[in-house]
Amino acid sequence: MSSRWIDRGVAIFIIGVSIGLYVLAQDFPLGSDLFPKFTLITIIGLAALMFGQTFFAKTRALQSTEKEAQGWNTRRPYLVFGISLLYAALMYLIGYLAASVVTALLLMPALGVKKKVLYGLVTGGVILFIYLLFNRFLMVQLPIGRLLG
Amino acid sequence: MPDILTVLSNLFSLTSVLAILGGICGGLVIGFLPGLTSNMAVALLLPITFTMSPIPALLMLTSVYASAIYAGSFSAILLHTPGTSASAATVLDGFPLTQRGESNKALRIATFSSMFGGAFSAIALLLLAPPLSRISLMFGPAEYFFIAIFGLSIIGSLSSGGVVKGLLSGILGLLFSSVGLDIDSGFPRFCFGYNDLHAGLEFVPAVIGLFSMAQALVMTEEVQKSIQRVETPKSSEWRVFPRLSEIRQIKTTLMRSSFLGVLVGILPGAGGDISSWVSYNEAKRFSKHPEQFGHGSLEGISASETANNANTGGAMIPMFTLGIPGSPTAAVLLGALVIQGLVPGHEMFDRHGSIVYTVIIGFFLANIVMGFMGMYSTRYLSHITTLPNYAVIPVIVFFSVVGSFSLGHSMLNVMIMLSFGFLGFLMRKINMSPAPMILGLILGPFAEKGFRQALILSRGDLITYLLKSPISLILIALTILSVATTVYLGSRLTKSAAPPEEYESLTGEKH
Repeated sequence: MSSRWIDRGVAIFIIGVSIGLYVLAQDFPLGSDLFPKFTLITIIGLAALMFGQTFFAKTRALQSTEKEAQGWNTRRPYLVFGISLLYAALMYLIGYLAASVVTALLLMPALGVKKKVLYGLVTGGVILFIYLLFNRFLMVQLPIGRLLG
Repeated sequence: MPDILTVLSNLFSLTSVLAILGGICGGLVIGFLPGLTSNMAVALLLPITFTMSPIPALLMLTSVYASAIYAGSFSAILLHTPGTSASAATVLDGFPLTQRGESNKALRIATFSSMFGGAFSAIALLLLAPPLSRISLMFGPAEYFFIAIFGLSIIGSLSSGGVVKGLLSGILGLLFSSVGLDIDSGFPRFCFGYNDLHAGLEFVPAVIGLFSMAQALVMTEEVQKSIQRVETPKSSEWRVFPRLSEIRQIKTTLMRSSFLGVLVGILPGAGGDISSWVSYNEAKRFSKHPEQFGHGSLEGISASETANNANTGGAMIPMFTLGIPGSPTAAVLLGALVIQGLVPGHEMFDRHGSIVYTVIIGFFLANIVMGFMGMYSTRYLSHITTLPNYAVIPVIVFFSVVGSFSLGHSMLNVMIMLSFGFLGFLMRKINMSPAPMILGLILGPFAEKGFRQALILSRGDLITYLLKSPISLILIALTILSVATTVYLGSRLTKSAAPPEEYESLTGEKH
């Protein structure tokens, strides 16, 4: 899909959501509705401009990095994002240390790690560094986990 | 101005010194790694400063800012890959010297120039900020509203991806800032029944998400990418200080680029990359040997590196005085100021003078210390670049999640960070800059407060009230002028400031 069509889709999406939020803002008390309405109208106007621009601007050719990112690589960010969400949930359930180790292990196949020893050393070192930095030095208690705590 | 002894005792306390050294170390490492920007460096280290008092917290963040911009030159010179976009112009002359086996020469010129530019900008900040802050005394609600709009318009106009997308990003930030309980009526706005959102969207997790998490997601598309090992000279051949003859060669460039860097830095939204390219072009124009540019010219390296570090102090001038950041990283620093309970303007200089002056003088010191630390550590830091992306990505994910959580022990903040991270990733995909959104999030509450107060004071005649102040009129004119000029001259300015294909190939982003 060309950047032109993506921009059109994004503009329509933003306009749609903004109209929905504007309707919601109608129920706000007098005064508290003004600023959100002002921003929403501006957003709708700018999104309409963005939509209009797609008919005049040249289509941007795919950059080399985008070409390289075809196939499995395009799905990898979503997978890593999913694992990050899971990390947040695991941290809540089993605590920082265990969750970080599990996440590091889950990320290994997702990132196609080749040098496993290097990966283990870096992630292990960072997990420990963060633990010491926050728990011992900054005195910020990291989660110990609902299930384990 | 507070007592100089108070400032010095604040500055040379153990916590302050450790904060500066820690900030410099963090900035050097992150700035060295191509793809990791100064915005990200400051955003990632922001949570570490929550538990600190304002002085060490701000000293650490400003040190990170200066050293990350400086360290971008290492990989630009050694690897032909700028560590940050601000060092893109350094590649043109730095790498040819490395190819000729003169990397040490390029590095010491870059170091000396960065130190000079940074220190010059710190002095400019010290001399210009206090008198300029008095302007803020003339500001009422209408002026505060319009200055927020002006700041957004200019950072939106100058960001990559075009004016419309930049402005859209900024206004979306304003909208996000209105989530939560209304300041006057207490009515929950856009909370969708979630009580946790009543306090609004925290700024710090949003910054970490937009700058750091989004970057980690972008990096997953090239997981095997890493930089080759660099051969640096043996320790016996290593020279830390430039020769007198080398300094003589670049002395005019140093002065010119420092002025240009500070000047461009003061312009809201214009970051180190713009000042570096502008300064490089000017150095070439005034040089007696323009033919050497692009083939290892010391003036070329000096122009770029002096200007990008001079930009850092320049960018903090409008941030300290009016609350309008001069660069995207200064936008994150502005958030740090607000978190520490400091409101930019004359009152900050008046009531919290000891903090502000300690931070400014500390920033000067950091610019000097970073040069020494940089020169002594470059040869060892270069090993970091052998790390493939797959080893760096988990580090960013862990720091982002834990950093967001540490703010108030809240899983909601982690969710906010992840949501903004995904949003930032999608924005990068459509070439929309996240920097204006950050500014919108910070300036939103100030803009709304100004807007609401103006509404009350206007007694029903808002337009007349908003337009009766000459400062408001000037700000409106500047806003219109900034957008109109960018639209009209956009393509021509890009061509004159830097060759776009060169810029894109060096920074990986559209100019």
